[in-house]
Amino acid sequence: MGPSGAGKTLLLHTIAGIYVPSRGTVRIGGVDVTVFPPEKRSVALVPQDYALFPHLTVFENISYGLRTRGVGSSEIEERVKRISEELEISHLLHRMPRTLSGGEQQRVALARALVVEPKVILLDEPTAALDPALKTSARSLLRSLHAKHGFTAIHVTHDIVEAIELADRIAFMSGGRILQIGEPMEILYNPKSSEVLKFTGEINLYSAEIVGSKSGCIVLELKPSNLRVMAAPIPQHLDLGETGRVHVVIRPEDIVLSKKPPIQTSARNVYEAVVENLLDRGPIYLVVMDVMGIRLKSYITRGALEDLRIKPGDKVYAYFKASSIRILGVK
Amino acid sequence: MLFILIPLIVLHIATNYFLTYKLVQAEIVLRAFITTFTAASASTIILAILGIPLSYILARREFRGKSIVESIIDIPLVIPHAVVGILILVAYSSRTSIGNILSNLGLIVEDNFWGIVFVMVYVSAPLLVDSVKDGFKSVDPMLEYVARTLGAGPYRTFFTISLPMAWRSVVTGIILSWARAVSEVGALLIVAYYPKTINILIIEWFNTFGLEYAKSLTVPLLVICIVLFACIRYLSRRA
Repeated sequence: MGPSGAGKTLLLHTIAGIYVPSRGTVRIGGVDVTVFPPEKRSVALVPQDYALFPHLTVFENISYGLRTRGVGSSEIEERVKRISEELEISHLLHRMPRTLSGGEQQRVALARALVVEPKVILLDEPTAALDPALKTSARSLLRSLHAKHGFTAIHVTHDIVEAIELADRIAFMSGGRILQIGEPMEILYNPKSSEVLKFTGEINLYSAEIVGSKSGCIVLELKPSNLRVMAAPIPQHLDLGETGRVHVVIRPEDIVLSKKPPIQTSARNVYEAVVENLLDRGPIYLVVMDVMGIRLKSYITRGALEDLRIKPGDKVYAYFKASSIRILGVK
Repeated sequence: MLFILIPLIVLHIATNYFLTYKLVQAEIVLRAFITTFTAASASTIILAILGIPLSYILARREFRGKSIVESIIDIPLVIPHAVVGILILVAYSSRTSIGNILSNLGLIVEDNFWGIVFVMVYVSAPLLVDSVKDGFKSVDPMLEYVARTLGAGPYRTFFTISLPMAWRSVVTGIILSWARAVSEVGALLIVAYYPKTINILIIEWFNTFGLEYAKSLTVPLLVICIVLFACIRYLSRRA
């Protein structure tokens, strides 16, 4: 992960064999493939715009890699059928790519890459082109596919929360260099450079303890204070161990601010907060607040800031939905 | 617009179709049509075989001297037709050293079928290469990269992805260069008056028998050209 212009896509394309590096080597499973052409590397690329072949049907797109490998037609039918059932795109097989929605295109691109059973699958911002509601389901799809097929995925993103949620290991890139590699928690709690901190420092990250459940939600206590928040039920794939201790992340853009207590909101978490600081972040502002000893960070637009007339020391209401809380588990 | 349309309508009204019908059955006319169309088709096939790969390279690769190559390809667009005739004759006629080698291979230029083909290739090359090159440029290179990672080699990628996606431009380029080849006359007057192509026959009959005969001969040629034009419009609109 890293900011745009960091060289993430270029690195991905170099691994795929589209570019030959002037120095260094590319090794896949211990084999030096630096001078191999892309077709000899056993990597599958899912580019940012999915690059479905527009002149071929969905079926022909998915079967393309099998046909180049000389797989027999009955086996092609069988394998395409299996993968498209798994990705729930069986009903699209006869369609042309231009008639598909963004989410459908993404599934077809994933099916096309997965059906050849590559050693490595290269995902270039696979959720960037999707609208926010689809992003979440796309992430859980990726997670379950990964759990089932066990491929190695190199997933490029500029979204720190996506990286934390999906990755076993994160390489942080900036300016064409990898600045830090490590497990998500290591990157979050121990950023080794100011560039990494800039990315990780603005998300709301807490350690928390599960203390109970209430009306379909679970109740968490954020440490070190005892601020209680309501979170959506824990997804099944997370192994929490027996301690009940977890890490939680809340995106600053998911926290809404108002001067008066919100009357009509579906948000389960509403708190009174004291504004500590306002930081200029170009088109938006980062509002740093204190809620019972817990630091809460939120983005608001310039216009919203002018409307609300917030200044340090003011009291505001900060609220967010139960589903905004991402539970990461303890690793 | 009317300036262009009026002659087409007037020709249609003024033509003696009975004469046209009789003329197209005359052996000399039939042979001129066959010579024109086979030479134009031969030149287009040669151009397609050499020009499509060249167009692909020009669309995809960056190399030193690329703009020089592109300029050279476009030179025939700006050279007067009579000059093209002289150029072909000076370079490839059997009295020159290159022409000597060619004529040993049976490719005699002056007053020969292959002379006609040479002229046609020369004048229509830029139309094919430019059109096909634009077609390949409009294909997203990422599609080719994805095909490669899915196990397709460079040739398979070219024939299953690049060429089918650019086919409209390829067909347009082929029709344009064929039509350009059929329409050539200036350079042919100099290089290969014989075997007579249809344009040369029109000029000859205009000079010897007058407008009435020349007119009747132009109608079938005009019809063929307009049908081709309609094909191009249809294809490019669908693209």
